Amino acid sequence: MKRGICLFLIILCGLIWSTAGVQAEQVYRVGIGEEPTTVNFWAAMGPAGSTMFNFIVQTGYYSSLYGFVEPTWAFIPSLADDLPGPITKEGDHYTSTITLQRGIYWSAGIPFTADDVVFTFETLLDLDLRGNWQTYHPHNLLRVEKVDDYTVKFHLVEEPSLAEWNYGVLMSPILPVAQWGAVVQEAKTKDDPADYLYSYKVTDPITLAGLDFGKWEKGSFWQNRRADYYTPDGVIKIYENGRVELKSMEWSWAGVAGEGSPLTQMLEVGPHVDSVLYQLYTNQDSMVLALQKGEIDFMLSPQGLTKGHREQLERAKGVELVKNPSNSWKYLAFNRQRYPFQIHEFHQAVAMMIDREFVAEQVLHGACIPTASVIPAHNAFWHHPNIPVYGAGMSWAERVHEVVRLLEQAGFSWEVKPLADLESDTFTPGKGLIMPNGEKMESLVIMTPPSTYDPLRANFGMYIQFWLQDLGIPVEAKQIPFSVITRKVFEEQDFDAYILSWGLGGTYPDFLHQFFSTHGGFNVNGFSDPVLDQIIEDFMQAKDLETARELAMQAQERIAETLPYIVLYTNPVYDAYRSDRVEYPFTDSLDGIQGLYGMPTMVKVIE
Amino acid sequence: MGRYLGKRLVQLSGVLFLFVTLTFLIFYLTPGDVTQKWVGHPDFTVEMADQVKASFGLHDPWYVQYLRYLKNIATWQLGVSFSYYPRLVGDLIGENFLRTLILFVTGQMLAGLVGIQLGKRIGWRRGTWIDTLGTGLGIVGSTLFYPMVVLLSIWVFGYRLGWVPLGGLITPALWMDAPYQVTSNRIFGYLLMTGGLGLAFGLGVSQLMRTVGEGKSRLCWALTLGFSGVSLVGFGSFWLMSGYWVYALDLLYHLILPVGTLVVLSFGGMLLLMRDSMVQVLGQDYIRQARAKGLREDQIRDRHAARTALVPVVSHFSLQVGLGVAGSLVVEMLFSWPGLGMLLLKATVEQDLPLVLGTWICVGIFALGAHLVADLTLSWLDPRIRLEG
Repeated sequence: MKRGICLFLIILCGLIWSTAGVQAEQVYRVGIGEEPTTVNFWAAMGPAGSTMFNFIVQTGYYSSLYGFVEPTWAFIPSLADDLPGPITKEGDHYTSTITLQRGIYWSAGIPFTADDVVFTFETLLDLDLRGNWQTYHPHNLLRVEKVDDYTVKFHLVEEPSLAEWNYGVLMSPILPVAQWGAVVQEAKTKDDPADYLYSYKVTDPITLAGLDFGKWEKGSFWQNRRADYYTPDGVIKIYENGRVELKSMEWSWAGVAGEGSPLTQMLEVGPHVDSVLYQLYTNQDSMVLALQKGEIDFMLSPQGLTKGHREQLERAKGVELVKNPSNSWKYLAFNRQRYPFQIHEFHQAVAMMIDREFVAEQVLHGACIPTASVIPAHNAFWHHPNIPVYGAGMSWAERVHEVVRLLEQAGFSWEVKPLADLESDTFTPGKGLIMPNGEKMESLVIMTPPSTYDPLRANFGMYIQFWLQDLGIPVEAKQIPFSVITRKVFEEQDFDAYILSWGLGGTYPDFLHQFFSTHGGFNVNGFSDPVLDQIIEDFMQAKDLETARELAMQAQERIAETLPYIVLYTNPVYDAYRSDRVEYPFTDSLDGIQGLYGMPTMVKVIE
Repeated sequence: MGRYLGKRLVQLSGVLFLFVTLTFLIFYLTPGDVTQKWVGHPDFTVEMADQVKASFGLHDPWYVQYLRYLKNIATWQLGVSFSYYPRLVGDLIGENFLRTLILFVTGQMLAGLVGIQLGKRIGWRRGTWIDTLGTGLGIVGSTLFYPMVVLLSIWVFGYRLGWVPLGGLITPALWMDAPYQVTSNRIFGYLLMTGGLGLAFGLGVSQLMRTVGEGKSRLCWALTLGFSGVSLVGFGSFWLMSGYWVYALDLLYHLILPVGTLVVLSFGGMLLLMRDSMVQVLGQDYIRQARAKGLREDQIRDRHAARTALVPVVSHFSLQVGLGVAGSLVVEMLFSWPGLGMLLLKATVEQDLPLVLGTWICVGIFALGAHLVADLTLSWLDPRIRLEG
C-alpha cells in the first residue's frame, strides 16, 4: 500500500512537471492586487462598478474622439480626423462639427461610423448614466446629430469651456451600436434602465482599439489578446516644442505647435504583444516574489512599494526600479485672514528660507521629490519650466540676507536682527520679530499630520519651524490628527498655517480655479489676487488649447510670485519591472508606468 | 442509523433556523444601515438615501423584512454585491466556496490523517523516547505562527527552490488557451467527483476484504464497489479523452504548497489530542482483555483502542473544518487563493452588506453540515452514541 502511494506520487510529480506552462506567443504579464468585477464597460465606468482594475483591464478596448499622447499629455485626435471645429452659434444654441477618421473597424468587422458616436451619446443622455460617465454628458450637451457616416454635430446650450468640452465630452469612450443598440432599447423598457444596462452580461465585447477580451478566469487572471482585425501601423512623433505628428497607413495629422523643433520621441503604435495577462496576487509579498522569480513582468500596485520591497527588488537580477513624481503635491499655506499673513513679503521670506532639496535629499534620503511648481514638470504640456523659485541656488547666508532685506522693506523689524555674513557664509539667528504695526509677533502654529500618519510632512514641518525660528519668527510645528486639521482648515478656518496635500486628478489644470481664485471652492486660506483671478477666469473660458496653455503659463508665473501656497514636494511613485524581459518606449511619466496602467499597448517583450 | 440520521437532520434544521434568525437580528439591531457606506459623500443626497432604503425594503415593518429575508435565503436570492458590482452574491459565494472547500477540507483531512496516525502510535508508546519526541513535535506544530510559516514556505519552496508555484489557483499561461468552458471551478468539481468515487471504491474494497457483515451489508458494499469502479473507469476515460487532465494536474500542483503548509500548521493539535485520548483508553478493561486473548499489539491499538480514542478527535476535527472556511483568511491571502475568507474580508472592509450577510449564512450552513458529518462518523465509531442519541 505504502509503495503504491509512493509510486503514485512519483508519477504525479512527473506529470505535473510536464504540465508547466510553455508560452509560444509574446505575453506581457502584469501582477494586480484586486480582481476586476465585470466585462461590461458601461458598468465598469458606472457609479458602482468603477473600480480602478475594471478600467485598467479594459483600457485598450475602446477609443474616444480625442485623447492624450503620453508622456507629454498633449491633446490629439484619436477617432476624429482633426482637432474639433470651432463652436458656432446656431439659432438659440451652439454647435460644433467633427469629422471622423475612415477605415477604422470594430473587432466584428463592422466599420466605425457616426452611428456609433451618436448611439453612445444618446445612451449617456437618455439613460442619464452616472459615475465616470457623467463627465461626458454635462447639462450643457443637448444632443449629437449624424450629418453623414463620418461627420457628427454636437449641439450645446452654451459655449463650453475646455474642461467641459475638450477634456470632457470629446474624451468619452465610444461604444458600438452593433453590440449595444438592442440592449439599450431593451433597457429603456425597464423601470431602471441604467441598472439593466450595467447588469447585462456580455461575454464577447466588440472592441476597437487594438486589444480584445480573451479570457477571465475568476480568482486567477484576466487575459487580453491582440485583436485579429488590428494591425498596428502608426507612428507618433513628439517634438521639443510640443508639436505632435500622427501617421498611419491611411491617415496623418500634425498639430499643437509649429514645425522646426527637434524630435524628442518617436513611438510606434501598438499593441506589440500577443497577449496581456493580468495575474491576481492577493498580497504584495507574493507579487514582489513573483516579479523576482520572473512569473510576472510588471507590478501594478497603486498603494506603492514599501521601502523593504524596494530594497528587495533593487538587489534582484533583471529587475529595474523606476521613480517618477505623482500627480499631486504637498504644500504650506497661511491663513491670510490673520495679520501679518496678508503681507506679500512675509510669504516671500518664508519661501526663501525653505530648502526643499536639503530636506528631501539629506534628511529624507530621496523619499520625496522636491518641487515648487503647482503643475508638475511631467505634465509637460501645461508645466511652466522656468518659474522663479525663491532661494534657488542661494547659500544659507544669502537667503538670510535677502529675507532680512525683504522684511525690512515691508516694515518688519526685530529685537535682535538676524545677521548674515556673506563672506564666511554664516549667520546669526534673529529674535523677536516685530510686525509693521509695531506689535511683536505672537507665536504661530504650523499644523502637520502626525509622523505616524505622514513622516514626510512632519519632517518638513519641523525644519520649516527651525528655519523660521532662525529669522526670529516665533513658530511651532505641531503634529495634529489629520481629521482635526481638515476640520480647522476647511470647516472652521481657525488656523495660522498648515501643511496638507492635493491630488490633482487629470492633467488638465482646472484645479487652478478651485485653489487660487478668490471664490474658488477650496480657497480656504483667504488668498485673493485680482490679477490672478482674471488670468484664471480667462483660462477657464478659453476655447482653444493654445490660448489656454498660454494663460496657464501666466497663471503659474503669477502664483510663483504671489505664493498662495508654498509647494514643497511630491511623493514619488515607484515602478518595478523586469528589464530583461520587457521594454517600454519611455519610463519617465507623471504617476509613473502605473499612471499609464502598465502601458499594455506600448510595451514590447524583448526576451 | 436511518432513524438517527433523521433525528439529527431535524435537530440541525432547528439550529439552522435559529442561526439564520440570529444573523438577521444582529444585522437588524446594529445601528446604521446599508446607506452608511455613502455617508459623507458630497453627491449622496437625503433623497438618494431614501431611494436606496426603499429599494432594500428598509421602510417595511420588521416582520415583513424578516419573512422576505427567509424567503431570499431559501431561494438563494442574496442580491447584488456592492464591492463586486454587478455580480450576484450567490455567484460569488458559489465560486469562492468551492475553492475554500477544496483547500481546507483537503488540508484538514490530511492533517487529521497525519495527526491521528502519529498520535495513536506515540500514545501507544507512552513514556518512551518516541512519545517524548512526538509530543514535542506536536507542541511545536500547534504553536507555530501562521503567517511566518506560510511566508517561509513560499520563500523556500516557491522562490528559492522553485519546486512549487508561489501561489494562486492555476498557471495562467497554461489556462489562457484553454477552451472557454474549462474553468477552475469546473475542473475542481470533476476532481471532487473523481475523488469521491475513488473513496467509495476504496472503502468498498477495504470493507469487502475485511469480510465484515453478511447478506445485505456485503451486498451494499459490493454494489458500492461495482458502481464506483465503473464510474472511475468512465471518469478516467473522460479525463484522458477530453484533455482536461492537464488542467487538473495544474490545479493539484498549485494545491501542494498551501495544503502542505496547512498540514504542518494543523497536525500538531490533532496529534496531541489523539495521543492524550489513546493514553486514556490504554487503561480500559477491554484493552487488557484483548491482550489476554492474545491479539497482536497493532491489532489491539488499531481496532480497539484507536477506534474509541477517535471520538473526541472527530468532534474537534469537525469544528475545525466547519469554522475553517471563514477563518482561512491568512492562508488565502498569503497564497493568493481566492476563497471565502478573502471574500468576507473585502466585503467587510468595503461595507458590502449583502455579501457579508450571504457569506455568513453560507459559513453557518457549512459548519452545521460539518457537524452532521461528524455526528454520523461518531455514531459509526461508537454505536452507543447512535443508540442513546
